[in-house]
Amino acid sequence: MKIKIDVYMLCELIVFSFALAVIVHTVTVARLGGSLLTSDDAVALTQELILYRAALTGFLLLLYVSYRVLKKNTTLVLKVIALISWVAFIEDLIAMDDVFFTPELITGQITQILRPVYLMAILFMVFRSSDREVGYAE
Amino acid sequence: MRSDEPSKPSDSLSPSEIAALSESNLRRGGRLSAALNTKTAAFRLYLTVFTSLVLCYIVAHASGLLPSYLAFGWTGRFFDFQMHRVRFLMSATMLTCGYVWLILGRELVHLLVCFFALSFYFAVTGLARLEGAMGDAPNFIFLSFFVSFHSTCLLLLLLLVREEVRSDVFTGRAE
Repeated sequence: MKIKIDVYMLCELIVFSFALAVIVHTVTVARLGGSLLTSDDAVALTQELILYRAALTGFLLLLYVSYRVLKKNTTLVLKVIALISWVAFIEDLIAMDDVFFTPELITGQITQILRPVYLMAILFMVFRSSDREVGYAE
Repeated sequence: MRSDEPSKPSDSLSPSEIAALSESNLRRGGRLSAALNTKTAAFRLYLTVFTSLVLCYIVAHASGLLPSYLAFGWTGRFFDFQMHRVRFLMSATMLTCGYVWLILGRELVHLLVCFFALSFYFAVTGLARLEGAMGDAPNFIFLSFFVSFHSTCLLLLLLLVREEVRSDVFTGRAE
């Protein structure tokens, strides 16, 4: 028996798994605080950047879910989510040298492993959604 | 000249040749003008103001004036400086992409909305970081300048989205 896998739904699963991991990780780090973070830079940045990023991404994903439920076109929301995710990734990589990475926590490891997969998945969703919009894909 | 001699090219150009040449010059030099001609007057105005603002930001960054006022100037931490450089690079890329998209005659609404979202992200996180970096003695003059600059950019992007939709309606591209 052949099992047909819907790649788009698989990508959605990856995106929501990553979002869940980020939320759990953010809450854990915020609760445990400075004892977990290895540098002063990380402590300083956690106060501002992580929370705003998590809030913005959470809001956008909520918007995506509502669009999906209402069966509206999700292309624009996906483009915005993908752009902000990639920019945040570039900022972390170039500017912040992964100061948020906390290998002591399992949520930190999961977030770090899932991130590249998530970035690819969200890009795939954008392209698939754009193709659907112009009629290249069903 | 004998009638059986092969015809030589004339020194003067015919009116049709002059017209063809001037048309090609126009096309070569005026792709941006041609693209802007399909937009509303308000779109052109907002784009000019927006471009001037971003160019002012680029000049301020390039002259070395800006970093001392931003988070790096207060904290002295290297990642603040790097973050500023990354965001500067992205702002310049956004402006370039916008103009390339405009010249190519592509639909701009999604691009502008993406730019709005990214600018909003920069504004919120930048303000939070700046406010945190300034600590107990904030520079309210610079903070108000920072807020005004970002608010103006965001407002102009929203107005550009509105005018882009209106331009599409005028040119008959919209559904």
